Amino acid sequence: MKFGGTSVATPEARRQSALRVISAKEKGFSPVVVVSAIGRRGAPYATDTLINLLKEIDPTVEPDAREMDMMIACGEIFSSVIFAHLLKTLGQPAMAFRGGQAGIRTDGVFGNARVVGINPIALQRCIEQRVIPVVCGFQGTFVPEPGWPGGELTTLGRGGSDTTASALGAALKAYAVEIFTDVEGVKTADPDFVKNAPTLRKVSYAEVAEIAHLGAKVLHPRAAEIAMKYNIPLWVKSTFSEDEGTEVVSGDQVQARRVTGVTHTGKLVYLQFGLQTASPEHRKELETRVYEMMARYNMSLHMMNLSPSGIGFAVPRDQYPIVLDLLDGLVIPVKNDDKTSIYLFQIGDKPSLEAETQTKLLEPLGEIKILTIGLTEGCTMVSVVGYEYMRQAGVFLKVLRSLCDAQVPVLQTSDSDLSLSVLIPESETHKAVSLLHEEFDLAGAN
Amino acid sequence: MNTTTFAETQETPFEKQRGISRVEIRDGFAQIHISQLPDPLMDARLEILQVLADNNISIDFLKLTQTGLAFLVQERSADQVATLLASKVPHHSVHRDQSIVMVSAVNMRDEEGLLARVVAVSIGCGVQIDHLGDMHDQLLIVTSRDGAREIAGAVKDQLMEVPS
Repeated sequence: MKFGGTSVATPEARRQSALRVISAKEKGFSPVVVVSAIGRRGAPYATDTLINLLKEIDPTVEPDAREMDMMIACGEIFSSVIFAHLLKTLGQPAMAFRGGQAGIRTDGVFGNARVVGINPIALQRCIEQRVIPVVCGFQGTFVPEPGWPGGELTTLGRGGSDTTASALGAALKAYAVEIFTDVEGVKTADPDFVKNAPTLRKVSYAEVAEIAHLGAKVLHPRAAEIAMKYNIPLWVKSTFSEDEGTEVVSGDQVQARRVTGVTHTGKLVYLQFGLQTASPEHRKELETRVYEMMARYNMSLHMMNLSPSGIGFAVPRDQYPIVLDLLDGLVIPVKNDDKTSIYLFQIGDKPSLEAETQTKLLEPLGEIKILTIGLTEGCTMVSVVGYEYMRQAGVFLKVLRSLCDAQVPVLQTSDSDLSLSVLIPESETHKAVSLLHEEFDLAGAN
Repeated sequence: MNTTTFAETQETPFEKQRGISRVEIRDGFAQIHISQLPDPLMDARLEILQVLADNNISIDFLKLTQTGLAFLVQERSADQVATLLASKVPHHSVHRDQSIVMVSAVNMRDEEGLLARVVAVSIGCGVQIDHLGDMHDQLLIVTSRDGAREIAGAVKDQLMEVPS
């Protein structure tokens, strides 16, 4: 049973979560609890608050990933100790475990470690003695070499606590893994945008992974993947309601050719590289260098587009300052036979001070070809996710027609076997999500 | 207590290796480019999509271009599409023998920079890439049949780790 941030945020929420654990025990199960850090952004022990404690020392010095992991793991340690003690006060013996103590071994990538193995012996002993283990989500231990004392504390990156729950469920051969959150399960759309968006009773592992990939934050795909691999029943439920929730199942157990939901991402910035002025023989090199740079700086790219006139992609708003730093005024010399051409990238139609300075400095070297990067800020990607649906004729038409009729500008489209996405102005997100939800008749989905 | 023994005997292995796990090619597509559509542009695009839908033709990888649109159809539908477009739009082209390279990696988006790395390697092959698409566990690259083999080879050589 995994309880997310909001399920352990307040004394009342923790009590409700604890009562669910006790109820499971009373029904004859042996619950193993996984907890996230207490509360979301801004809460005293939330992950972001802990990160800020380090960053505010000197914002110009980036903390080491190892120390950062030790810091942010404290959130889950607080949470597990408090939850275990709460269970004790309610008459249930319980014991808190760090990830490493629970036997979770990871690789050595601080901040985004992968679980490589779990030895659940300590948890099994606990269960045998009718003690409820309360395990810190999101963390494990990396042992650099055999005999390394204590190992190094690592965190599992995005969706880490869901992953902890799923992996422990598999290692313990659990009857089921239940992910408790503040919504009733996997919804057909964000309930903030579509009131009364129904809860899906069954979704496939692939659907839930795609929904998460395209912006919904209900269950992390890593957790779904582990549950799928080990055939562990996985549920998403609300701590605060008696709704039965959503069961995540294999693809053959869900209705084929259906639309599962409409998702939306956070704020994106769309960049379009006009490469028309580049020599055709230099295009490939310029494109490659741009993508190599995005890879080197770990940019998360959306809506990637290649066309004869140039390339384009969207980046999350919070990564845009890095992209701006990298690309505005970027100089790429391309050598062809004995001649070197100099290309200078400029964001927007007017050169920034940086681009202007670069141009002046480089002028003595010969002609400088300016490549303009068109910028569209404040975009969102809205997606229709469907299982064996996107191959049907007319799906694109249906999406574009309904948005066009409602005068929602579509900047670009993208699709895959499981989804169809449109890039639109962020201000139109609410309208687009509601429209598509209605267009695909999702109010009656289950 | 010998914890090493416990680890060896009782540990359950978990998450797949990082990075790319598989590269496959799906053949049998045709790429359609339509340009110089009249204004209002979106209406003209919708009209074409309506014709295709009315004839039960499924399309993939739709991209909106400056003056039109581009998309992929099954190669077996290419002749039918060409006939339908001939009467509707003067400026269009049909490129047969297109393939999709499917590069698989679990939770691609979480491995920051991986998508860009695959695209950089693919472009570096020097073949014309017509479209890109991505799913939670796959990056899809549309290119010519021969180009697909070249890209698949390069991605395997440069980005796939050999399991130890």
